[in-house]
Amino acid sequence: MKIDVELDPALEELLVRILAPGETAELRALLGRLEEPPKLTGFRAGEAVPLDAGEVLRFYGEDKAVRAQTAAGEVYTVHLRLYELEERLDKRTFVRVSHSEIVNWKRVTALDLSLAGTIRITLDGGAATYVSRRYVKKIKEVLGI
Amino acid sequence: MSESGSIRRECLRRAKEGFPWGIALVYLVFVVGNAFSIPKPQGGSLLVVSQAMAEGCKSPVTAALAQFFWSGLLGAALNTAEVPFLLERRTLLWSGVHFLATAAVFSLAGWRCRWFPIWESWLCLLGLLLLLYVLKWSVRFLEWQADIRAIRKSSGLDPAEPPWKTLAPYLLLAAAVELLLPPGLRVVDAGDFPVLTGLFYPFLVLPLFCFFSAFPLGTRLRRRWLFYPAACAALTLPCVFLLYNHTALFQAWAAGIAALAGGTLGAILRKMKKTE
Repeated sequence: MKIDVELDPALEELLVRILAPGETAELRALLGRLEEPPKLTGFRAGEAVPLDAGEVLRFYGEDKAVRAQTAAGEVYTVHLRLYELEERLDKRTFVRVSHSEIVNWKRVTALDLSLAGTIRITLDGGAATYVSRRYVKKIKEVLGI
Repeated sequence: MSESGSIRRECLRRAKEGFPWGIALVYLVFVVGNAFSIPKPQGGSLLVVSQAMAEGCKSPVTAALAQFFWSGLLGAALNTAEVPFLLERRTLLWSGVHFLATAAVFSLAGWRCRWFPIWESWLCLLGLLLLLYVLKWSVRFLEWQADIRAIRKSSGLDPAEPPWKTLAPYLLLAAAVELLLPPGLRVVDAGDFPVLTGLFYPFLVLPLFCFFSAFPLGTRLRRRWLFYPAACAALTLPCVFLLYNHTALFQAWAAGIAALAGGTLGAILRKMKKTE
């Protein structure tokens, strides 16, 4: 496999174009690797566990560390800052909802506004968190509204 | 910087900005008021304090300086009314606290500067201040609701919202306009021919408000919007009997029919959009 990298400052985001003689097993494997969510490492009780980003409901800051809550209800510590996670993860799936939290938007099941003006997000399995009103504009931009 | 620190700084910045505006506004009210009052006050059109205050203070400079301070303080309080909306939590509670603080400053300023010849005028102006706060809150809430609806729609989330939640800000707005506005207008109305409460409010403000506020409800709620015209009609009754008399009962019909027309138009547009 030959790799050819072309830099184009006019591009707004990364563009990957693959040239192949046909639909081979190598091509399918490569596509699979490109499409799968990035792997992260979560730490819990001194044990390092590979985390599938798609299984994470949210990343949030707690006690000066970043935690990842999975759909199974487990909480892991991630040795990355929230801004680093934002850069690594798919921006349209992992949306920053407040200063200290990134939510997996594909796992959001409900969005509610209380009469007091608080915006509540319900995630898969009933976990709930809150959206900062200051981030609503950014969320709308990410969602293309 | 922490959130509370930045909020405190913003509050201070707005208060400093509001101080001169408050002075300018109060002095402008006096100058314009004196220009149109018949007979002209003793001090002429440029008398910038109330007659009672000018007589009460030994020197006119002392009176003007006292009013300078109080009107500036009122301007500072009013200009910080937006600050609670910058908070992430307890926005409603802090808005309420801010209203009470502003009402206290307004009352103290009015008492010290003798702005209110009768206590009813003070009460009515407090009602207008409350109306401003309710309007501000309702408009903000409707903006947030629109944002949430757009995000839900784009994310394919269930758009269903309990009808009472959709209705609540509209009812609050209707209550504020129909219960607080007429007494407020009564204060500034002419005694011999009350144009504001006799013509402007019942024939223009009330029907237009009911029509245009019912319209979005008609587009958003199925049959439940029909509750709104009934509420609009019912909310006119306290003022009809407290400020007017039974001959003003037509206001209930005017409000109800205007809201019904606005809601019907909204419902028709919703159906047309659906069939498209």
